[in-house]
Amino acid sequence: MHCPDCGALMNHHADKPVAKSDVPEIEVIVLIYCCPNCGKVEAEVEPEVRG
Amino acid sequence: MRPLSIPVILGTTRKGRMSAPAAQFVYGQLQKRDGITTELIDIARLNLPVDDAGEAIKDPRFSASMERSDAVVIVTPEYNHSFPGLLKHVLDSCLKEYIHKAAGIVGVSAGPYAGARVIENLLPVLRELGLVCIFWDVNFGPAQKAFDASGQLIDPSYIRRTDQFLDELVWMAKILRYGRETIPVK
Repeated sequence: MHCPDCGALMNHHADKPVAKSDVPEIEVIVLIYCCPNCGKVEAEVEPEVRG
Repeated sequence: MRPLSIPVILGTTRKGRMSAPAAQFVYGQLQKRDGITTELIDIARLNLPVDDAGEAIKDPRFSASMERSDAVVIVTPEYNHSFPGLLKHVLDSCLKEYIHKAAGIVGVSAGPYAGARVIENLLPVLRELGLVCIFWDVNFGPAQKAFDASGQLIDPSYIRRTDQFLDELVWMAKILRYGRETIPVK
């Protein structure tokens, strides 16, 4: 992913499981990125939904 | 190097809150440090809705502050051994903004345990939000012996304790910024 603010290549630094409803078995993985140039944080949801 | 951003969150809306002078004091100590930008975020001023929860009620200004941050200081009172529900409500409104960032907790209590119990109860919440908690805390208690009626610090020992706490928080903030920006997870 490229930084939407400055265009630098962002570093993929974390994956986070997130419950998307009150049903705890249904969760998605959110991929977290950080820009080495300006520090901006971005996230995208991994396409595969676990549940 | 960009300055580190370390906001201070005042985590209660209760009238007459003794956490307010504690938050103001920590905020003032941060302002004295070079290479750091800070702001005081009073959750009473966020006015988040209470008919929903989580990222659905994200406040754009709070979200932007958390995204800019490299670390956060959370000043929380101890109510019935735990943290205010509205503090949790505010914290739950963000996620990606927190991950791999440092957190330090300041506990405030009128009793002799000085917020020790609320800090223990808040730690697993912050961990689940992706924050990395330091092992220094500041415990203001009994709060009425730390601050006078006008909110001025009357126990100077809190200056040294807070400086040690902030030294550790700044160190962790620098390490985690380096990690976020340069070390891939896989």
